[in-house]
Formats: sequence, structure tokens, C-alpha cells
Amino acid sequence: MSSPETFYDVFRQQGISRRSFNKFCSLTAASLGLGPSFAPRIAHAMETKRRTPVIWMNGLECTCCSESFIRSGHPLVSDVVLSMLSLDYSHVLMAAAGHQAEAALEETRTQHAGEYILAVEGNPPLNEDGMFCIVGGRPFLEQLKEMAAGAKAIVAWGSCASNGCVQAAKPNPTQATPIHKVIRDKPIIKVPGCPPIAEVMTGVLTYILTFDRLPPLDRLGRPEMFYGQRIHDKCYRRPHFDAGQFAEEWDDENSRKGYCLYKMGCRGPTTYNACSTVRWNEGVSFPIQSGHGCIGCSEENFWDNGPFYDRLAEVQTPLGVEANADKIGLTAAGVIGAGVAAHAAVSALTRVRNPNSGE
Amino acid sequence: MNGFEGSFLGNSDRISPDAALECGVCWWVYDPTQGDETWQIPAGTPFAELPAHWRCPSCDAAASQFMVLHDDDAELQQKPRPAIPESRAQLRQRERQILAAYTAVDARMRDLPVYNGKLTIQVVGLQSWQESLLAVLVTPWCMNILRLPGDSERLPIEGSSRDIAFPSGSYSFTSGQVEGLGAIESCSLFSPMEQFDDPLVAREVAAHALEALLQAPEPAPISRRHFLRGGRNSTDDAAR
Repeated sequence: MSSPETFYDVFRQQGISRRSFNKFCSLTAASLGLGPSFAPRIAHAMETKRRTPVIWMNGLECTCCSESFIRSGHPLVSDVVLSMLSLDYSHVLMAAAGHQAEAALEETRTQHAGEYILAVEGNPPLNEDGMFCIVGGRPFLEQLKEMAAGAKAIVAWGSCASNGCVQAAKPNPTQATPIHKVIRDKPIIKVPGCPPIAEVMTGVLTYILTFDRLPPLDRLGRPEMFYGQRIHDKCYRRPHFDAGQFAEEWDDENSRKGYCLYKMGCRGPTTYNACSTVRWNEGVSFPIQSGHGCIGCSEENFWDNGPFYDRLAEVQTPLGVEANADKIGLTAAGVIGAGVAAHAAVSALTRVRNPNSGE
Repeated sequence: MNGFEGSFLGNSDRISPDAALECGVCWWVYDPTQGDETWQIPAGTPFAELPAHWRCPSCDAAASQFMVLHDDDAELQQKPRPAIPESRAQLRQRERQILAAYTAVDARMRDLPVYNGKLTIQVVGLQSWQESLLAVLVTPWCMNILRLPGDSERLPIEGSSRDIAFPSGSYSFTSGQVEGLGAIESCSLFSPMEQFDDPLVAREVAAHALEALLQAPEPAPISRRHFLRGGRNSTDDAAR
């Protein structure tokens, strides 16, 4: 696929109407929190820019990220997937196999050196020289490093690539290691979640392709627009939390009433993700809405943070709430000035304001 | 009789005795000063007191099809009853009510790990705002913008969210029920409250937040270049 076609050409070839193309652009602008004025710009970029090759690699993982990705809400998004990904390299989606596939990978690496985006699902195990994950006869670690060298940017899909996930849980026999600890010389966008929300994944990719730069990232390298708030902040059961109304058992009266699941082990208060706003399956629902607490799957070491059904109790792990996101120095009462309090207030307010509404 | 399709959402009490109503089907007008000869309704009968069997004498449409044509008193009647306390004493009373409600909640929250024992329950900056009450609630487990609706306002169903516009932008509020307080709407600023050490600091942050909420942002300076090119301002380019 070396022809200089644009995304729009690809869409047209697949028989997608101008109307649904525009719809896709405005939906994407909205999901990126950019406001309607950006839709024409996304459309313009898609019409004029050359297709950026995306290579999707799979290491030690369960493919749930790919599965989530190809089920993203708007039908056209899956077409984005097919036109951007399958043509180059992806274990799950490509038609080629064996030597042919590896040849395609090699071709992209050499022909588009420095241009392509490397999407990594899963992570490399380092133990026994990487023997626990072999792709095309070689350790995945080797392939990963080789492909990363020529990549423009790397997207770490899912919790495996971002922070290790289940294979890195104690005692981690294969020494599965998140990719930012293996590759240190490339910009890495972490999109944690097990799996991440489909719209978040397509949104991140569209942002990079449209604006030709990385989305704004938080301190942990996650896109701010999707990981800037806790599940708890926008949870529809939040008023029950505030009012001290909790489910105490899975089948008690309170859980039937839809009370807060915090006492049942919900990790909402310590989890940064967009589930409570974007939701899943085209915005139909999300775990808490289905009656199950959040398990905090986008947080670091979530497998090691105690049983899912134990209350967050002693889960004030230093890695949980404290170290994350925007901690503000509001301690030490006598020391802080009025400026600090005002700044904290304004930044909290900015965080909860609807995008683009105050400008 | 109720269910006026076009008038006051079916609230026939809202139609003043002098109101003239128009048939939504054939535009025949019922004027109370004239009455209705066809149905032998004497002049001076308010629309709301027409017999149940009364129908449009011109086209036989049901009374519920009628809409208010002009109603001088309706303006007055539409205004909500003075549910919003205006005086300082009334505000103090509402504040005490909120404090009492959340003090009751406090007993249930106290043994939870999210409870920050260094903080106290405070209601900061309670004030009336657009026919409702607005404040920032500080508790050992959360800091929320709290909106108490006026008596005549019906909130959306519990757990649903809606956007409310403030001078500084629009914010998503979720409605809920608090025992002793009734229906409220809230927008979370902080929760859990682990970054606060001191109730005074929390109070100060809350006051600043409320102030910023009700303050319109200064308009971004329009650059001449962008103005001439038809752009609105320089932030248009940047993706935030």
C-alpha cells in the first residue's frame, strides 16, 4: 500500500457517503472534547493528508484491546480501523499470514521509516531472554525494539502495554514489563484499561492523525481528555455516595435501589478513566450501571491491589490516589497562601466544566 | 379537567379566570366575557369552570385542545411562589437544614477509609441564584457544588445528569435525594478529600470555586489578524 491516498479516498473507495463521513468527523471532535468548530478541521485533514501507516503489534496479551477497538461505536470507526490498520500489519485483522505478513511488516518499516505509528498491544516478557513470547520465530522484545526504532510515536494500548496488567501481577514469573520500561527514546502514549474504551482508542488515533501531534498527556503519559477525571467524579450513582447511601450486600434492598457500590469494592474513587462519561457499547452502559463495582482496570497494578470485592479500605496505596494526576499542595494550612487555594479552586472548576463551554 | 396541550403543561390552575382561549383545531376563540351561546354558557364563566362535556362549538374538538390566546394575569401566576428565601434569616435557616442533613449522613460515612477526619461539614456561600439556591458543600468525603431547586421546580429523575449554564461555562449536574433535604443537584469538585488538611483551607477553596463559577471569563483578546481572516480568536487554532 504505497499509493499516496488520503483517508477520505479510502472512505470513498469503501462506499462511505459524504454525509456519514461528516458525521464521523463531528462525533470524533465531540469525543475528543474539542467542540463542534473542530469537525471541519478533522474533515479537512482527513481529506488532504496522506494516510499515516499504523502498525499494530501484539505481545503478551489477550487481544481484548483489539476486540474492543473493532467494536467501536460509530460504524465508520471500524472502517477507519480497516483502512488504517489492516493494510499494513496487525495480527488480528490482516489477511496475510506467515512470511508474507512479516514481509509486509519489514516493508513498512523500511519504506515509512520515521513516519509510522506503532501501536503496541501487550508487553514483552524479559525473563529467559524473552522466550515466553515468540513472534515469527523471534522474541517479541526483539521485534518490538526493531519496530520502535523507526516509529514516529508509540501508542501503548491497554493495561498490558501501559503498566503490565495481569501477566505482570505478582509474582510475575515471565518478567512481563510495560513497554515504557523497555523503550525509552520514543514518545509513548499510554491508553490503559482492560480493555480501553473503543471510542477512546479511535479518538486517540484520530487526534494524532488529524493534528499531527500527540494529544495533551497527563503526568503519567495518558491523554488528558479521557483520563483527566475519576470514574467517581461523573458517576451517576455519585449522589448516593455523597448522601451516604451504600449497598451492603449484592442482593440487598439498597443494591436494588441502585445505591453506591463503594462498600462492595468499587474502585471508582481511585480510577482515572472515561467510563462514566463515554460509557461502553455506544454509550449504553458501563460496569457500575450494570450493577458491578469498578475494578480499576486502568490503574497501575490493579491485579495486586487486593480482591476486587474488598472495600477500597486500606487501598490508600501511595500509588493509588496520591501519586496520580493533579495533586495540589493543599496541606500545611498555615503555609499556603490565598493564591494556592484560588488556583486549586479554579483548576478543579476547569476540570469539571464541559469542554469549550466557557470560551 | 386538566391536560391543556399548549397551555402551562396541562396545569389548568394556571389559567386565570379572564383568559381567552383558542381552539387548537379550528381557531375558534372562547372569551369568558362573551360566554358560549351554543352550549348555553353564561358570560363571565372562566374557561376552567366549563362543564366536562363542553366541546368546541365550531368543530367539536375537546376542551383540552384549547390554548391560551392572551392572558394578562398569567405572567403573575406563572411566577413561582416565593419559595426562595430572600432574607438573611431564611438563608441561615436553609443552611442549618443542609448542615443537619449532612451531619446525619456523616454518621454513616465516619468509619469509611475515604473519610478525612480533619475536615468538618460546611456550607459555603449559600445564595439564591436564578430561582434556586446555590452553595459549595464541604464534607470530609467530598466537595460539591450544590444546587437546591425552588419549590415549583421538578428535577430530572434521580441519577440523571444535565448541563446547567453558569456565567463561567456549563457544568454537568447529577440529581439525587438527600434525607432531610429532598431533591438536590450536585457537581463534584473534589472527592475523596485526601489533599485537604485543614477545614479553613477547604472553606477557602470552596469560596473561590463558587466565585469563579459565577464569574464570566474575560473574553480572549481578538487578534487583528484573526479578526480579518474571519477567525474568532487565537485559541481557535490550538486544540486546547
